Amino acid sequence: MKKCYTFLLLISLLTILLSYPALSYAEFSDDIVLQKNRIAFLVPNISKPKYFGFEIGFITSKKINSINYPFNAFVKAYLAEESYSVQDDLRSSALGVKAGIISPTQSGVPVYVEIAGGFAKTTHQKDPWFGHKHDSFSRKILLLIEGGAMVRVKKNFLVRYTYQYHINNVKYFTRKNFISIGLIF
Amino acid sequence: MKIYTKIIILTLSVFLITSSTFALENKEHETVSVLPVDKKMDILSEIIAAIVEKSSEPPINYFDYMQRYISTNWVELNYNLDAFFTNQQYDRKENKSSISFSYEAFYKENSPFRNLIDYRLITHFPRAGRKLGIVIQNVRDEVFESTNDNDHSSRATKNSVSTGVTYSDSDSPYWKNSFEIGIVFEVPLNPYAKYKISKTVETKIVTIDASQRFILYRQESFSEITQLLFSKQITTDISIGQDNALTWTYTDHIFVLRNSIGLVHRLNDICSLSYSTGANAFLSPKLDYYRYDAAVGYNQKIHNEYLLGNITVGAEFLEKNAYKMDRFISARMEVLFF
Repeated sequence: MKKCYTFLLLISLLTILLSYPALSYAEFSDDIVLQKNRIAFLVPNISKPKYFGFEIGFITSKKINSINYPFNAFVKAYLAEESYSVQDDLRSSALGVKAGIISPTQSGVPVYVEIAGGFAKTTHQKDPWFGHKHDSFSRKILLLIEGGAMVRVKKNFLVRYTYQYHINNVKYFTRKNFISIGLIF
Repeated sequence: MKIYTKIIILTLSVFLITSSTFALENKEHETVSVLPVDKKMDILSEIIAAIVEKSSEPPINYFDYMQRYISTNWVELNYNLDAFFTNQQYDRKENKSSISFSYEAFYKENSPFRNLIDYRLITHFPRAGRKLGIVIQNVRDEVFESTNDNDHSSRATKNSVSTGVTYSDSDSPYWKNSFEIGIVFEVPLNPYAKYKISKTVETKIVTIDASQRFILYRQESFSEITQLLFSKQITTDISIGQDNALTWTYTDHIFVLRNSIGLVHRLNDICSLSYSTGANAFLSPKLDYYRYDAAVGYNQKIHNEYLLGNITVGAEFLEKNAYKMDRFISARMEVLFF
């Protein structure tokens, strides 16, 4: 767990250090931000525990004029499922929203930093999507913040790594590191 | 897991470091964009001047600005969406999108104090769908609204938000239909469908409104509400109404009947008094009146047309308490953005 914090700290330090010269001297061209209106991400199941996630939402281009720094702001709806991580026969699902910013790090290089906050309703039961509310072992609200970096590939595709931190204690969502692929359209 | 984290650290570090070198190579094409100090001071003094100017105005004006700002933006957003999908421009006043937000504090003897917050975002697309609207709202408990009875209604969903699409057809000369489908924002998924058919008949003596509602939620199951309302405007300031509602829910398997009578007395353009009394009954196994209530309310437009207030005092008499009086008081404030 501590290693994850160290990792997050390292990433933030690197980002701040490397983007500092860019903020002070460089002029970002507006092309560096994501120009489309909609964004979608899919989290495929790469490693255990079994997890699936999907996010879709809107992005807008913003600019801090005084330092000529363009960035994107977004609002996304997201759903996620984590299966059999706490008990062998139970799955968990989450349905929520996330909002945050995507900011470029360097002029001319498609590497971005994403910071977001979110809120979701969750349940832990045998059939977390189509089951009945009263069959739930637990139903909680999940508050989360996440940070990560993403790379734009071929203009419209994104590859992203995020680390998620749960503000309140929802024990049945255990996965914290995510690699996801995205699309802007 | 450890190897996985290490690989990510390495890849990202390499990415970021290479990107910084790229950036350094491109430096010669870049120009300095920091604002000169004088310019910054100008902007700052403008902001201070604006704050000083505004602070001399009464605080209610801020509220007016806020109301106008939110209303304009909400209508603008919906107008733009509508115009975007249909490629048609029209007068913005045609767009009737609105937001209503209310807060109610309720206290009844021998029960805990309650705060209720309710909101409703209504979008209106007069061009995209002449009869179609999207509603985002706090989930309403229609059975509670019809019976006015806390003990026999499921208020469990009250803290959830729902999103739905409504279709209403008022062209028919005989009946008014409205149909709404949507989903409550929660897991396990809770989609719903609601259908309402209603008719208004104007006679020489009274106006009669009849309506039938069928409500189906995935989680709370089926319920139905039948309503018959007689109303009459006696003078320009006084109107009376008699309301009968019959509800049935699948979870309780009981019919609840409510009869009530009310009188509204308009004092002047901005305030009115309302008096009401009612009784609730179970229909099965036999007609049994189990609850009586009476209330007096004072309604006032607090500011302009969009800030409304209400104070109600009353009492209820329950069969299970041997018809002992339980007094209640509620204060409610509503803000409209339209």
